[in-house]
Amino acid sequence: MKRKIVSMFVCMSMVAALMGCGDKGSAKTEGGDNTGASNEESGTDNEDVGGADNEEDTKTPSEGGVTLSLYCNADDLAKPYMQKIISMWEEASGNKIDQQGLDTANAENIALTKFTTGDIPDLYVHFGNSNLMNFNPEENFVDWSDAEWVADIQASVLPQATFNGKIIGLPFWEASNSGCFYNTKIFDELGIAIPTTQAEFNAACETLLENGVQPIYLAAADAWPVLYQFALDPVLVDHPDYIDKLNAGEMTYADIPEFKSMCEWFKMAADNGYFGKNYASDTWDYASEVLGTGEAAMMFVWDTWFDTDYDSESYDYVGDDFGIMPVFMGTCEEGTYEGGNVNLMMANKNGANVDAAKDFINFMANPENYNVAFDGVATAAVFKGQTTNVNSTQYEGAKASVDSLIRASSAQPKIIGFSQNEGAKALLQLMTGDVTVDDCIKLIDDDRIATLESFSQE
Amino acid sequence: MNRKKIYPLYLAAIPALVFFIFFIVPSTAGYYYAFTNWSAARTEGLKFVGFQNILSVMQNSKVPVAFVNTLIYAGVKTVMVTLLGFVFAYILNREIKSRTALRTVYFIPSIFSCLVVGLIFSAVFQTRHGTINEILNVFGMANVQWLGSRGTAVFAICVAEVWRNVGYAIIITLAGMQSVSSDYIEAGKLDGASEWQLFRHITLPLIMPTVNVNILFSLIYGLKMFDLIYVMTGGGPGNATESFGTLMMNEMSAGRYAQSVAVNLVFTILLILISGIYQKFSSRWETVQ
Repeated sequence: MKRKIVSMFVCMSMVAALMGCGDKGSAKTEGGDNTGASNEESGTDNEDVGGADNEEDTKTPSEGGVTLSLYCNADDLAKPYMQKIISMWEEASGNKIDQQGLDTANAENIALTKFTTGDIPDLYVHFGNSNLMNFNPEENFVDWSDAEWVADIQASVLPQATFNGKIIGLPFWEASNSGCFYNTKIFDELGIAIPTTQAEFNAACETLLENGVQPIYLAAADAWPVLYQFALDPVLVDHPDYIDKLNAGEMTYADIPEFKSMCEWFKMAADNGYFGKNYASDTWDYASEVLGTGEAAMMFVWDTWFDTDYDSESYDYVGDDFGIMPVFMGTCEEGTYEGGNVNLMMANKNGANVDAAKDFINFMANPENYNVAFDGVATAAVFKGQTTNVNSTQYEGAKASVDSLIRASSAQPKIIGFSQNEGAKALLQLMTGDVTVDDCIKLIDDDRIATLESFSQE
Repeated sequence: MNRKKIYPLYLAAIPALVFFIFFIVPSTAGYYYAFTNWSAARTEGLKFVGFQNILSVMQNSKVPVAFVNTLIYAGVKTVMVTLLGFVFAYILNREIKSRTALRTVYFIPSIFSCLVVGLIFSAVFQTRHGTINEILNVFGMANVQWLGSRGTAVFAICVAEVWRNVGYAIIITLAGMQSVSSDYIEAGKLDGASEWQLFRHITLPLIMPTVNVNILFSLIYGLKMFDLIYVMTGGGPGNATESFGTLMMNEMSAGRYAQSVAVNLVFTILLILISGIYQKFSSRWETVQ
């Protein structure tokens, strides 16, 4: 009897589960089928439902429509202006965007795996750097070269949206100024002047150490926050031929004297305690806490971060207590700032919902819409018609210095095989004493060359 | 009984064919890509490049670190999981109160996903606000960067992996112990054998086949460790805790697919060798005298 009851219960559970699955599946399939069917039947349905100007659709969001899939780094997707523009389009078009935030630390790996297995979303967000090559932009993404909005993109930004001469995505992002951010109150209390040379910067670090303040918070456990590309930008600006030679396999990092200087500076800084005791296990998650409590006085970061991410409410020091000064990483005597790296919104040109995806991007590129999305956001303008953004407090406080020393981001977008993570991992090994400077350079170079060769294998 | 007459050898051809088609072919066909120029940017029109990728793997300076780490993970896991599994199974096989509840409690970590275990132990071993460091701080001791240097990070990963797997080893070993007939034990007692002698000469030899299964599983899964490392350290600091698994992932994520398969091929050969050697020797331990 007991067995029968158990058997019946199991059977009922299985049936319920199967029905549940069926329902869920059919519900999802229905939506998909509707979209797919309408695409197949008319070929223009997407355009209809996706059209921002289509009054009928904008008034009836509850009737449903196309659901676009969007893959993006989770942190990037959470930016207020991204969420704003998505909700604006959803409201206007009646369509939906299925936002799939990819784990920040592994976003590119996950996306690459999905792309390789044919799981390509309708919309994809990626920085306009050399790694984009892995995603076969010409095969996978819509070419926007003839789009009207291309003329509205700032000239300094447009190269990052360009791949093999084609505009492959809309640069819808914050154009932040990256540099070394410092706690103005701590600097004032200790009478530290803003450094203007590498030697002065090192001296400032020593003064902070003498007063029990960790000079720089370096979240090296996460690798990418080491941001060593900042050190390379001025070198590549001074020697533009380096990029071509590196990409042609005619030169290695070991041939660049400044690269060695950078490694030596990181080693010296770590040994002297500039990054504190815990840099090897420090993560980005604690950046607000460490800066906010005054445990550390400086960090390499970008100005928009203080506006969109820094937790001003929980700690002693608020975002406005921080100022910006040049980065000194051993390669550039007068220091440097890095210009904005922009994320691109790209549309899958082979997807079933390509028209709706294109409509979304055109919607984003509309001055009326992007000005609403970026209203009050502290960033430089990406679009020529961008008027509602504001300059960051930090930029306003050091405008002359930033404007004179800022360099366009070069290492990351232009050097094939440049890896922010792998390079930082090697530098961390150097800092902890596991490898020598030469071995560190070799590690970084080996990784770059391996990627370069994987592209050139015939 | 002459088994050859009942089961002619040619009958083995059918299961062998099925095994070949449905297991050998699918699991090895992918290795072809180790000899091509497959990359993220080149998925069609692949060309044969010979041993170029294998050579590049051999020259990769991260491989020796990954190799040593993989052996450490597998070795520590195998020894600790087997020993602890044995000790706990022995205790739980005795008449103690709350035996059933304890068996369940010890098994619970085995049903957690690696991701959950990784996140739990990341929180435990974190430098800032980590559980262990908070305890150390109570006693006036300074923070330790558990995940900030190779030795401690490898240790932390091993602790998490052993914690997750010991429950499974307990169950397997316990099943083996319970299958030992009480007749042998009673006969031993009648002959005046001590508790240790009963264990050493009766229980242990009879459960060796079960223990061997434990060892083999721990060894193979230890060699294949990836997810826990990926969650806890991502192979860091630097490349200090890298294993073959994370190395494959790194190659793949850099878009170097063929090289990733080449790492996998080298690793598979290593895995087969170690498993084969172990099985060859372990068969000797199973002999009951």
